Amino acid sequence: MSREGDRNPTADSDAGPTTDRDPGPAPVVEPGERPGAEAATGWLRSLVPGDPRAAGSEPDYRFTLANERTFLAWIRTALALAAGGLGAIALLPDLDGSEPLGLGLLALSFVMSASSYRRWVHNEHAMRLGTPLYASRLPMLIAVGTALFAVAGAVLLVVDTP
Amino acid sequence: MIHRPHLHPHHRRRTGGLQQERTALAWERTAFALMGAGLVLARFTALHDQGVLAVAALAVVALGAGLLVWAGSHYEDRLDLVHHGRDVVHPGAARYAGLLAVLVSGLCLTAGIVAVATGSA
Repeated sequence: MSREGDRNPTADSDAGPTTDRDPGPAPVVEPGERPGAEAATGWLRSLVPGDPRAAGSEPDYRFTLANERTFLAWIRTALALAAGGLGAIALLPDLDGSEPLGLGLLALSFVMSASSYRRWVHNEHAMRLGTPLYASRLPMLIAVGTALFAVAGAVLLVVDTP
Repeated sequence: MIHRPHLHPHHRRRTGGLQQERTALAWERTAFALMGAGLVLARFTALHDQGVLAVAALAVVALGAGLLVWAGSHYEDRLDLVHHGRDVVHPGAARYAGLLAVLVSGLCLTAGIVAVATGSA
């Protein structure tokens, strides 16, 4: 294997797929749709896209690993929110409004979990084709959502304290 | 001149080292988080008389433990992939972790809704 040059991030980070495995004109392929295979559609397919290896050439392995770690960080954040949501429901039975608070956190957690694999595939796909990374509004939504829950929790706590 | 083999570019490239190690640790943290969330869920469902969900929660803990074992053993395999310049992307693992996370979040959400709906919260 003499592809060591492909694996140098400083040389290739911005160059895109200009290696000996350049697929030629950038194929317009959605993640998960293999060229030639029947295009699967529907919400399930969009939520669970297929193998990102279907198109493009492999990026530097460090990028792949970084993408994987980002994906895992999303999952852990979602799990932390789930535990927090259950905690709000179970540990604050006397606090008015703790139930909607907990359910909101649980819903947020579910949305994050459900979109994490999709985000990973899209990012991997973009890196393989040298296109811009997947732009998502979810980080903003999560930030605003958790901030609102935190403020609501604080207000409830102050109001509830005799 | 000081001999610093770890700074030799060829050596550096072949170790695969820190990126690889960080990723393995991220997998292990995620496995711990899955097991932790599973235990929280098990406790919650046990307190709220949700027997079926409690069993599912314990299954989640077991699956998280399985992920932990896999992450440890996969570390070496992946070093080999890096050394041989092969593709390290692993959609199967991502799918497993993603599915497990959806399962845990979904179970937690279900347990929360049931507890609130039945007024046992």
